[in-house]
Amino acid sequence: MLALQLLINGILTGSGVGLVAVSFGMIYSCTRVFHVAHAGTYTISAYFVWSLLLLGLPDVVAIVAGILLCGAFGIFIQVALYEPLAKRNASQLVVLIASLGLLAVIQNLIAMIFTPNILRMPSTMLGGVLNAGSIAVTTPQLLLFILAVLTVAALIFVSRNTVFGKRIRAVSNNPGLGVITMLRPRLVYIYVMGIASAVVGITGIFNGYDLGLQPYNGTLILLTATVATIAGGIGSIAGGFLVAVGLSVLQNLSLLVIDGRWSVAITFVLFIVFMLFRPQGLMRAR
Amino acid sequence: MHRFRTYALSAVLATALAAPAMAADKIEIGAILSLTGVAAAVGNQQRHGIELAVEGINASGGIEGQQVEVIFEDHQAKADQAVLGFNRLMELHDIPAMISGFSGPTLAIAPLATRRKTLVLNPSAQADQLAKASPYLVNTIPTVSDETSVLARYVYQTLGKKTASILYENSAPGISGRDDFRAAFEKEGGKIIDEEPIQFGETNFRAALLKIAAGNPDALFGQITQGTPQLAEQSKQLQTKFTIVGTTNFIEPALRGNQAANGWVHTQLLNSVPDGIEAKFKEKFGEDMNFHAKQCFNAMEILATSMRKVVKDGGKLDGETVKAALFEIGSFGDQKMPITFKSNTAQMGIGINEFKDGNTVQIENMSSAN
Repeated sequence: MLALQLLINGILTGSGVGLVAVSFGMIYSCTRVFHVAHAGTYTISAYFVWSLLLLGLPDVVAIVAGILLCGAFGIFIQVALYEPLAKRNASQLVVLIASLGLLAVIQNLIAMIFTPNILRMPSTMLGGVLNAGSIAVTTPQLLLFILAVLTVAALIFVSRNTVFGKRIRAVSNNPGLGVITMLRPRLVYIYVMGIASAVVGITGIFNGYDLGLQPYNGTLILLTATVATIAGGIGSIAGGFLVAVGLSVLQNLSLLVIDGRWSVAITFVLFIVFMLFRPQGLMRAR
Repeated sequence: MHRFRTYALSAVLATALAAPAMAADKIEIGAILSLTGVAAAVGNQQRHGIELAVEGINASGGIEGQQVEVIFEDHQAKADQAVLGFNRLMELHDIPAMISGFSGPTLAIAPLATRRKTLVLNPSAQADQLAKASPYLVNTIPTVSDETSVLARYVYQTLGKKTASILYENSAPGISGRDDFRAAFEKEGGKIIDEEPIQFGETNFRAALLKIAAGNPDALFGQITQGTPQLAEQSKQLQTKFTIVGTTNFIEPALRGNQAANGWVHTQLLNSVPDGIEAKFKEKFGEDMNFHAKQCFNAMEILATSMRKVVKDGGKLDGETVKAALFEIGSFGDQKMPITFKSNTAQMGIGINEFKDGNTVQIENMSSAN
């Protein structure tokens, strides 16, 4: 029974990490920006919703608005930071440092405005728990899982079956050719940043409901998500998502056989071994 | 003659420039706290406690007429940043004393304090190693072993819990607390079933709770400093059957009103601040004054009282003289909840509290084992 509980816990936690991995991978594979500040967007999403709830908005409206605000925030980052750096031919290292700096600014601004304390959503609407025998799942956990699966399915569908998706893939593969063929890569980057930031907002918001809001909680989840992005195959939506879920399940189930102190370390050792044998990742980008 | 004139002019200039420093009407004190990063919530409470104390000290005439100024450094709960902060305080300000926070950073600056003979007051970190880290490190709080021995005895003897598991923060005080509780509980005759670590700032305890619950312990000793409301809720969601117990640092103000924590038992170091201070704190900073803020408020008062004695006695303010004055005075605070020093680590009263109707209520009063 413990194994089943840990398995379910791993899948539910992993689906949230999966969305972070997928969105981070989308940005990296398309813009080639190692967008560390994505952790900041993850964090700020829950604070958007928290503020909107305080203003008296219903949960559903606040959540939808929070996701849209995250998208707008991502577009702002692209237009105000990455695009000017690209125009000045900044190296990838410079862009990475700028992104790290932006993350520090976001985290510290949140701490200044909302205090560094762990906050709780000022709403009990999603406070329910679903019990089935000894299995207990909270409403935010369940909603996040459902939304994560639907979002990943939608992203795969759009990527493979729509002109817009093909345009993103074309620019990702060859931005130079994208300019010549009038695909307007700069505009594509803005779209991708907007969509990916909205997607990471889903995890940020529901984790905020479930685990509370903290200014500095995005870094750890981004680290795991980055590993999943690379191991899943950069640019592969399904790969990143599946590896994130797999890593989370592995971390949970490993508690059955090893001490909790070694759980994270063992998981990452397995990741290194996996990458040694399959450096291209689990799946190839399509 | 020309050279003589140059020397004379230089001497006059040097005297003029030095004059303000010599006649300085302020005393600089350092504070190295976690003002940003995962532990910023605790660090900012500490900062506010110090600021409020300094405000009162300066309003009542400072230290024998000299105003107190605190220079804050941010260690982000990291040892290397604490060392940098210590060096900045010493090189730029040559301060005689400072207040620090968190076990790891305080342990990192302890050897430097010895070398520079600078007094470091630690008001809220409790790792056992702090007791003997430096002759210049004075802990105005008992170490965690004092609390765990009282708690283990109460849990085993009074509550009748014979088995326990431990959930601890993977940090110096977390590991200290884990080892101390294990030793104290086993000494009582109890059995530790499981030990599960948590990263600092982590609020997802479900996997660890599931594993602990599978061992079916009578009690869970929690040695974490953040995320206890989430621990309470997740424990309730998973319908765990053990009694959750902990020490002072385990209880956050955010737990107040949380019905999920009902039945929790914890030791509580008995500290107090003068009447009206808690209300003033809430009015000034918009939040309740927690244990850490009170500890820092009191540490600043201890420092100011000791410094006053040095100045009154005509001594020079440095780490050595302030430390000597502190031990000469020996006892601080009010008579009901005094902080006394017989060694580098303070003695304080310890109570046993229980959560009832979302509030922590004292059910017994013990005394410090130190």
